[in-house]
Amino acid sequence: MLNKIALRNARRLWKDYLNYFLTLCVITALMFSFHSLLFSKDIYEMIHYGNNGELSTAGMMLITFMILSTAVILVILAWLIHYMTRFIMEKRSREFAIYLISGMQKEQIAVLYRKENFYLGIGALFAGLLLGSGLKQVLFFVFYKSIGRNYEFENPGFQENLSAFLLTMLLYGTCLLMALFRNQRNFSNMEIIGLLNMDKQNETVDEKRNFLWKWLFLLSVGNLLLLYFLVFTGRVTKITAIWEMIGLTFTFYFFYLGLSAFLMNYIKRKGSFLYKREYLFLMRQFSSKVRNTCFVLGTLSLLFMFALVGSSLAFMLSDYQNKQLDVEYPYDVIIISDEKENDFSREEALIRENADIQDIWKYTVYQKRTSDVGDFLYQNLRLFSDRDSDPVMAEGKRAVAYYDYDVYMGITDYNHLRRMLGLAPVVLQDDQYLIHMPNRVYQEIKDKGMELENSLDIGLQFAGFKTEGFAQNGHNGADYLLVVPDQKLAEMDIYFSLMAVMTKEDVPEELSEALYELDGKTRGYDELADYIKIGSEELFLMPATIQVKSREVLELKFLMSTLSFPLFYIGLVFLCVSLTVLSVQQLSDSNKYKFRYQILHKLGMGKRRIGMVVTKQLFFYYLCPVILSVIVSAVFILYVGRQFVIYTGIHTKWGLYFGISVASFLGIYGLYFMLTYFQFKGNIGRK
Amino acid sequence: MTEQHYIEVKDLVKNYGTGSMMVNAVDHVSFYVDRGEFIGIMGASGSGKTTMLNVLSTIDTMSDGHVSYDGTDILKMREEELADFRQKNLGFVFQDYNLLDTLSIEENIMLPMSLCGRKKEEVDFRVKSISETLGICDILGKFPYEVSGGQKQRAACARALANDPKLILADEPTGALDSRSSAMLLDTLQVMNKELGATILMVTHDVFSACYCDRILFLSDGKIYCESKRGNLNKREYLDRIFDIQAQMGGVELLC
Repeated sequence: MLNKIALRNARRLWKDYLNYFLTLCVITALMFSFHSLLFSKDIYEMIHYGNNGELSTAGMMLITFMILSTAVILVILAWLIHYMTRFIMEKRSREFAIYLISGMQKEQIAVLYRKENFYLGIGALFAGLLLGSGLKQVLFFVFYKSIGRNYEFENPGFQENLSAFLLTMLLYGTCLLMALFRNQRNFSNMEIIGLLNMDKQNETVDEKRNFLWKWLFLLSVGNLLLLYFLVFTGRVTKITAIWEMIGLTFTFYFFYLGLSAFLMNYIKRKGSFLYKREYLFLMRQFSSKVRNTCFVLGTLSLLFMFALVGSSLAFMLSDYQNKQLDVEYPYDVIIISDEKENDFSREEALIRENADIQDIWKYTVYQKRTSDVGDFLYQNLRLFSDRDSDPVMAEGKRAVAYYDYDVYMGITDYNHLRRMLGLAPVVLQDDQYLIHMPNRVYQEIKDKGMELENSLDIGLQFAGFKTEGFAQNGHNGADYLLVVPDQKLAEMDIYFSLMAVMTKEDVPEELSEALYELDGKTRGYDELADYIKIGSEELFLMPATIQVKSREVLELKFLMSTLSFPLFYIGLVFLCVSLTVLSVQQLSDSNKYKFRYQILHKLGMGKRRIGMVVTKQLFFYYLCPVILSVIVSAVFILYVGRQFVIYTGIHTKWGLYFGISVASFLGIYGLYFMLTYFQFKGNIGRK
Repeated sequence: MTEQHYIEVKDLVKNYGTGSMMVNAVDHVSFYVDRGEFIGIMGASGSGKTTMLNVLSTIDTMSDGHVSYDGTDILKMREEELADFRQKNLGFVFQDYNLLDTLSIEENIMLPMSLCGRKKEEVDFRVKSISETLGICDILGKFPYEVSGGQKQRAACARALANDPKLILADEPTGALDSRSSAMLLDTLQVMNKELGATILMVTHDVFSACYCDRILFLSDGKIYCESKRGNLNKREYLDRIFDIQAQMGGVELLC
């Protein structure tokens, strides 16, 4: 009997809380798709290397980020289920009271309710898995595209599907069961009279402590202004950042309390807006709703903020990936050797076997036992800013970043290498030199160009900086290269031998492994010879003595995707959860407070006008958490965008990506809004 | 030439259901209401009182017949016109008050005027004068859940008067009140009728409430059973007459 009632009630729940059910489906589908990615055979091969099948750096990152994002999503999913089961329980209090009056035990009702929610949850799980198997194909397609590969739609093996399926079942099931058992306590405290009166309790308007809330609202706004001030004036330090984070947490919660206090005050003062048709009703509705749900609104704003920031960061990483790859890996193949007489003949033969060569250039770089530029950068770059507070650490970083001596190159080799990249050659007088460095480093020291020039004792006139991508993570110098007239090289010693290659078509990725094998090394273990230095690049640097662009690009893109995909994943789930909560709150109100619209109807509001009132009411309520989260996340993304420039030298269009994130979120927002609007209108129109 | 009444109801029919399941809730009812009248409609449960009130208040449609207000037939009006008509011409007092819980008492009274787009000064003046007349000035700042049932109902009366309507429709206004509050509310309705000139149509099954009316229509099974005018009778005498009619209608058996 109980089973029958539970099944019937679950069917009713499905209809009444369609948004919740759909969100559970979407979350399950996303979970399943991402887990499938994790268990994919191709991905497995991409993230493991060597005979022992060890995890690569990208693999470690992928697994770490997936575990992190899964943990975050589990917490939010558990919260959603717990929140919703409690919410539905309150809405059905009268029904439970009737069960109690009919002689059912509290324990029986608890079991019944648990069963209903279990059936609903399991229904959503299987529907989500079905949806997920389609979504997975889309996700795989996008993932493969983002790492520059083509994805062929195919049915993955049973084993892969089963693992993803079991993991999704396990995680989702744990959340569901935990939330259901947590609600058990609510049933033990049930009293019939309390349950009977629960749905009769009208919304109360709490106007107490408005004075305090107004002040806290001003403080919240002040905190937001301070945040903008700190970011715009570049005064963000570790200390201010920590204080701001704490302040922001309070801001998210006090903002809504204060907002409602201000509105209530406006209504009390009988502001002129109140006399404009339905705005008296709307403002009262809005202010009391905001006051009663300020904690939920604050939490939703936080979730929206994380979703917006996550998505914008993912876009920025993707942009960085596209822009930076040509800068970091300008040559199809570049190899460095500390053997001064190395003619790279074996490597050349192997490359010719595997690729159609357009140009190949073998050259040497020089040193003259001075390190003036290295010293200057050590004194001026942010990376070594702890040289006074922690000199051991700073020296250690320098030892990894820079060669012992400054690296020199002759103008002939330099111009040939430029021509290979399609860059115009430069003209250097016999008494001139130039410095080639990554734009990122140049941006940091450009204001001190004169200082740098004066610190050098080369006996030549400084002709300026060049900042194009030039393989400067150890090959053509680490962070910098001094280019001098060829005759000046006579007084210097050969430092390293190099070979740069440009091919007509893409080089096969496997050539990288083959070139290492030629030297008796294994890619994955031996990329870094002990002599190579890597410069001050801190973000996703993959230095190696032998660099095959196609292989490095694949790995770097993979690495970036391991970060950006979980960010999108979290963002989407957060968004869906927030929208579900907003939606069910409004829909439940539309049932409980149906009479308000009936009164408006009796007071002379036509159906069309009531429809407008509902639209405005939903619009303000839906907009409320978005505005605050957009304000905070915009400045956050601005800050991160600036940090991007500092760390990478690359200008990302943060505004554009933030705009795209907001626009795409508003698209999903619009869908939920429409769904809620039509259900809302249906509910209040129902007799 | 026939005399033009303020409100005229002619052959009003309201059916529910179709075919063999059809129920005649109101069956060819005709009556009139004159300006400034306080008219009551009495009848047992299911006699069609509330259905008729809903049709008169334009929140339900009629199956047949005509209802005209000051010569305007509401049958010919479209949905939006009806809403507009309701806003400008009708005021409501319900058994369960129907005050908006998120609005203070003052704001509840203001609401119909705001919806009409009246000016601030006019709204404030009218709220003040109505609340003074109905004696609710001291509760204006309170919310409905902070005041008693009687106060709520007087606030509902004030709201009904806000737009100076042609007709105030009261549906069992004393239904949820104790006897003291009921008496106070009926006095209020009388003040509205006598001092403010409001025309009131009250549906009730309470004999004590009915004796405040100038005229009572007795409904039975959707039809008018009879009509009784108070004339020069005092309350006590009128009460006795109502009891007599109810006894004829079978109300005594029901009461027993």
